[in-house]
Amino acid sequence: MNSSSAPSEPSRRPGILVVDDDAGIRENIADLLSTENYEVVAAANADEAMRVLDSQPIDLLLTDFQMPGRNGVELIEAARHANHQVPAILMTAYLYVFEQMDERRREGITLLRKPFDADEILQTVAQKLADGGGRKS
Amino acid sequence: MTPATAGPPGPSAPTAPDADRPRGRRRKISGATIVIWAVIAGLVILFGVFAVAIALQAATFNAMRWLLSLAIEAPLAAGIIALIWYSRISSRATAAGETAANALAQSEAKYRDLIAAAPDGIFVLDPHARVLDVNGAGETLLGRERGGIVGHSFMEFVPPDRLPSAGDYLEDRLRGLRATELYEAIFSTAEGKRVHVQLRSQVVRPADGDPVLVYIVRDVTAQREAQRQLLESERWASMGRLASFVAHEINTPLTNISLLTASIARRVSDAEVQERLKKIAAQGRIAASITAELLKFARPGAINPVETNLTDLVRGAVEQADAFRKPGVEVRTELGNAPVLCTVDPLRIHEVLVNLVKNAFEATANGRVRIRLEDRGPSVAVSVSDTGTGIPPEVQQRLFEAFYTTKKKGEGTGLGLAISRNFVASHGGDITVRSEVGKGSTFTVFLPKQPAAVTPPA
Repeated sequence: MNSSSAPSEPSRRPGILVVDDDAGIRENIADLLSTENYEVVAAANADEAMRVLDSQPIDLLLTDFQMPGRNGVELIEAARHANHQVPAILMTAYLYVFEQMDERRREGITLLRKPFDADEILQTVAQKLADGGGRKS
Repeated sequence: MTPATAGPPGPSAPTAPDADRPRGRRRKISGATIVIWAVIAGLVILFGVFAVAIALQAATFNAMRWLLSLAIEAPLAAGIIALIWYSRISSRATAAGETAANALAQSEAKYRDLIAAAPDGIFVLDPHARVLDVNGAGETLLGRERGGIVGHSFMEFVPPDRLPSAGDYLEDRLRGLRATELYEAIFSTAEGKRVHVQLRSQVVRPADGDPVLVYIVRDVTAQREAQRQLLESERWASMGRLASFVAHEINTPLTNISLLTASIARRVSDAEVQERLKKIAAQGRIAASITAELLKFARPGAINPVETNLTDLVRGAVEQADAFRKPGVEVRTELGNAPVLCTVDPLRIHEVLVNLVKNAFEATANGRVRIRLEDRGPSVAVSVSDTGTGIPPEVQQRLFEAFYTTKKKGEGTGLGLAISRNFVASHGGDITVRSEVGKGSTFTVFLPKQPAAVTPPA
């Protein structure tokens, strides 16, 4: 799935990193997104995700919230800390946990409420990529 | 004649030289004193036991409680019976002389004081349930003056639905049954309020004449209400946990179904397959909306109150619910001209209002739905009235219960009003309903303009 095109190439397909510990969800999201014009990479946890971010261009981070190890918000913070200014979408059923977090931590994170249907995820991804204007780092 | 002093040997001092009478008198007087003190001690112990029994009510020490109360109440019962008997016998034996009458007056006065000061309601009834006597606590319990109790049938103070039970109890007691039962009864006060009581009774049977019943009654309304609330909140909490578990477990497969369906739809061009995939997706969305309702019910979550113009909020809700309006139904909104500012969570109150207006539209085939916003100073009231089918009283009672629905299977989860009430309650408000079958219903949401516990943003 991984594109070998150079980051500077303007016609490159947008790269999306999907992070979820549930293999079914992860693979099915990747499968659906790859039917659109996206390059999709999947990771099972935050550590794997950080290795992907360090090694290849990613335009959008789509991560689950509740995962073993670092959670989705911690992954987004780690990514930003490592200077990957990547737009992020957080998938969660536990809205109230996210809503109760410090406002600064929630900043810039788009919430995708679980359970979502295919149309919602495609729309949210397309919207976030349009707003994010691609990579900023 | 100088009134005798209270000490037991006192009254026997000024006696006639007759050898038999003083002995008789002395016996009688000391007997009366002993009985009085026995009754005082007995009553004190009884009230103690009552208190212990009620404290133990929540625990499961039933057997122990009964042993304890039986052991202690038996002497008391004997005391009360002896006292009443004694006073009856002595009242007839006027020939016994002035001193005896004096002692009787004293004993009666003590008996009166004791009964009057008792914290429990005491009612003395004849076998036909006519009240012969009542103490102050009894008057308070029934919310009536003595004159409105004595001479009346005790059954006047029992709500109609409890009359058979109260009648059975009285008859059983006269037959000598249920002597140790802590009878749970309901009284209705002068204002029609239901008072939950625990009742014990003693039957006094004079040698001649009708038996008399002494009802000792304790108000346990507050305890019962606290128990009911505790049970209810435990019930809701466990139901909430179940709902949350089910919703979360079902959400993952639902998401996968949706993702895979869409993925297939993007890979095949066959119109018939597309048609069926759309149906799968639609069914998946229905299932997801049910789990979403379950989660809202299970975890109402913290509210995010912001200053909101309720006029706009109500108008928006009416517009959104309009899809459920039948063609013959007229909508009237009375929102006033000035904006009504209120610190509420707009998303949640919007949902509550949409739900109420939607219900009103669904209940009304033709006629009118009126939505009125009232500014009441520190609070607001939004009422939604319809001229629809109305709600029978037995349904009204359960209307706000979760999973209770009168809609057809698949048309409602029975969570709408339960969630609405949760949302409104988390604002410190309330929802009430007034309804008459065939005439229509009015639901009113009361909201304080400033919620009681607004948590400042972190």
